[in-house]
Amino acid sequence: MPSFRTPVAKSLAALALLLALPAAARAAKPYSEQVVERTLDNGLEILLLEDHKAPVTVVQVWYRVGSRNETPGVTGLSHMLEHMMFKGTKAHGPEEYSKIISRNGGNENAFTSDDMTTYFATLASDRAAVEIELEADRMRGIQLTKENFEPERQVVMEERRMRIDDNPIAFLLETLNAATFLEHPYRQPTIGWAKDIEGWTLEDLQRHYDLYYRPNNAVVVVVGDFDAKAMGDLVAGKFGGIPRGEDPPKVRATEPAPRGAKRIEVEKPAKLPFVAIQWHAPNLHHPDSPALEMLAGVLSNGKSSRLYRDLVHRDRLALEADASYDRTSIDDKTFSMGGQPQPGVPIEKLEGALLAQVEAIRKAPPTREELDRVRAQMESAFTFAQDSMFYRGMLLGTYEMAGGWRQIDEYLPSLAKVTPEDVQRVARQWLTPANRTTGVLVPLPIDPSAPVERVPSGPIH
Amino acid sequence: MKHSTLALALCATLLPTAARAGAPAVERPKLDNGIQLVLSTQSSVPIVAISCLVDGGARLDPPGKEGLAELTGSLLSDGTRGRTSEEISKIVDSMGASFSTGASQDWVEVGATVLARDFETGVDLVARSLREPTFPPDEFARAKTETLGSLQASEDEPQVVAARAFRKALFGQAPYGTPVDGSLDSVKGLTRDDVLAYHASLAPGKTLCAIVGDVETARMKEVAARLLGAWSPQAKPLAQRAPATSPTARTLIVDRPVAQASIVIGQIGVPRTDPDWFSIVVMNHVLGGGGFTSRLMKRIRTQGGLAYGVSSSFGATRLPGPFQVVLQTKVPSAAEASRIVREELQKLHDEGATEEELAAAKDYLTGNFPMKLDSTAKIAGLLAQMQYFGLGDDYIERYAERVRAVTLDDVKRAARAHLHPDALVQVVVGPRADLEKQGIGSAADAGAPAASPEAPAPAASPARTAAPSSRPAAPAEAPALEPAAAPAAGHDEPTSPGA
Repeated sequence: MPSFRTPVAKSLAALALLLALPAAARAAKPYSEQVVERTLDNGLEILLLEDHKAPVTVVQVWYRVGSRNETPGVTGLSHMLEHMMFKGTKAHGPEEYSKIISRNGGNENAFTSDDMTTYFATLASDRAAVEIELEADRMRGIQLTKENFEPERQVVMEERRMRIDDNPIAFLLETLNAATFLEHPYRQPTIGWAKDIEGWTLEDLQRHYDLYYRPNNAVVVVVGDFDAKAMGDLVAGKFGGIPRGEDPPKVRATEPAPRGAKRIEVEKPAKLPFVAIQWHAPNLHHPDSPALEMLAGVLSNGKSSRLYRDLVHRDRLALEADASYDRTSIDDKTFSMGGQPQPGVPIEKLEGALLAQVEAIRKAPPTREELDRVRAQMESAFTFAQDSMFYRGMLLGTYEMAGGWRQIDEYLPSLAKVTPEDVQRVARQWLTPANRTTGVLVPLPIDPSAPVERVPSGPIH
Repeated sequence: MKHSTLALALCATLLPTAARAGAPAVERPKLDNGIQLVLSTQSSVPIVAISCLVDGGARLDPPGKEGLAELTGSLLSDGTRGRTSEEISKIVDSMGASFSTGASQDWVEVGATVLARDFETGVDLVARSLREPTFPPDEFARAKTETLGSLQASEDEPQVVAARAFRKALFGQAPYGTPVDGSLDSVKGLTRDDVLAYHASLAPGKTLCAIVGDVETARMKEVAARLLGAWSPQAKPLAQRAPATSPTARTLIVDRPVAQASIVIGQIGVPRTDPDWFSIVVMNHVLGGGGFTSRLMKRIRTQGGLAYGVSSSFGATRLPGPFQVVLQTKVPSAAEASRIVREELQKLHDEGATEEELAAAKDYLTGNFPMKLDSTAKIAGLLAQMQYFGLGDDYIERYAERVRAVTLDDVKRAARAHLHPDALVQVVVGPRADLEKQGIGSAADAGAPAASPEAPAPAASPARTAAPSSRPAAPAEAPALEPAAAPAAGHDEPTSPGA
């Protein structure tokens, strides 16, 4: 996860992380019995979840805006706005937000993805009001100035170099996304194309802020040691006076039906190649979603999963191999596989082995035992996730963005109904050649010069 | 600097909450075979975290066999008497548990996080791995090949390349001069006999096991005594490696065709048990451990736009660990960013912190403490860390008091004693020609400002250590002892540096 204000990395690992957030436990009460929901007159949604394990409260403000809402030429605006949200408001100077949270012992941060921008802080419960007041302040109050904008643009360029340009696998995945989607803005990198970053204006940012930073486009999630009624009143009190805005424009792009297998290659100095394969796949609103989730689990969950067992452990083809499914994206996205070959293994061989794993399930359903194991993992993961208030908030927010937090409770029951034949059927239905885009990282040689040591002539100790 | 009335108003109420966080009830019995247990019942979530640490780790890798502790550690889960690797994986996945084994610079770790109902199976997995691993030859061959592959893959990560070169420049051939996974050369030479010899050095008397979660401590004791107590090998200790001397100031360039230079600047720091630790934590918070409020972040990111992140940290290690400042900046800015880091180190060394910085750091550190205890996984990690470093059973109760006791003079003294701006080691990963054009690597660059006479660098401090952090931006109090097997969804919670 990000350690600074940052877009959620579009890596397979990051996807896997989101997918590791399941729901509804055998033992625990359903979320619908735990969460208190309020909607203010100005449209702000509030989700409150009491959790008294420690005197700590997590506050998260979710805005329904990300690179999904952006247009060519000015990609990356949502992420840049996320950075600028720390640059001061009418009431508080630049960076003062972070100073105040720190002074109160809190940890604060934010992230941006395709679908959303989220701000969060964790504090001792008697300090939660500080964060809520500051979030209400910056929902409409930030001051976008040239003086703060230019250095921050440079910061984002550095972030892009670090995350994408000097990271061969991330660089490949960025290009792969652009090839997978013909029209849908999921083709755009959350951090923005490099040339777009250079070209943003203050007016672009201001327009984006005014369109999307409205109470009727946000969800406040609070998890922790508080009384839900009192906390709800506090949030309502701080945010209630902010006027409702126009409803933000809908994303109207609809991805055209796939027209056949696509393949791209990216050349970059690197030691090892990498292969990633994406198929268009429906999100949680589709009845096939639970079976796709189980399919990803059979392939990739744990060391007993097929990809680890066969490709990494038995055949020693891959250093790592992964499958993941974008269940909670707002619009339909992808089912993906990827892997890095062992040195000396041709990339085509690993690519073939990944596709053979898909073919095997298309030919014969997985065993009941495999499905039972995956279900046990999903159930345990839910219980483990309860150990973290932050992740409980992430779960609520992620589902709310994708179409409703109440669907959390449907997750495990929906998996329980999946049969081996369902898994085979969705593999046949969705993981087809025509629906597939493949990306390969082709390594260019790195100058293999050894470190050059310079011993200065200065003082020696 | 403008104070926020909001912040000040609320600071007054800090104490009660911090106090309410309280210390968890802990029992610390010792098993007959010498294993030190640290037990705490936490019933908020029906899970249990089990984590056993055997002191030694990569610190004891024999010369030329770097990577041995990690290879041995990782193989502990790949076959135990009567069970294949695949069978172990099935047991783990059928419970939906997480189970991992491996090494850090300071210890070999075997850990599991399980649902409370699977508690005994979890302890059994851990105990079998310590007691009766089989190290099947084909698993050894696979793990070795995999390590060699991962080492090659890590060459594509400039920050990892920089961290590796920095460690080597700082500690050389001495302990901690190599990352736990070793180097291509050293791992190539490892044999199964080496692994057997390393395993034979693991002894119950060097082991602590922290068990935290939703099980009564009486049952924890009974199960641990039965399963972990049955481990009683004839341990054959490995030779300690000779410590290194403190390196002289210098700059290394690692030539790579990248857009962004990865820079690490630092020196050998202190052991976790250093009596100045709290002063150092406060000092480092001011310098680069305090996220967006730190001096380095202000100058390099906020004002300069030179980097996405910059941070400083002192490794929390048994022996003197690395002190390091880590940043990435576009190649043309490398010299400028490096100069600013050196200026800030010199300034803190010469002048110490301000009254306001001190107050802000103490407010953060004391106010943040409840967040270090807000989950079963975190409590397990902290309790293990306290035990491993011998921080005292009252560490949690006294934490806030110790932070508050730090004075401006303490910070100044810590800066003088533990920052050596005239003896900095610097590693820069980037295109050499471009970097050299900026003067990086020349005497003028690395020579650093004139030595401060009042703060001579230690002539030959024992140079050994290891920040186990894979994140170059480790906070001052790096969570050196994370539970080996934190649940997938509970582990990667974003935190600000300095958390």
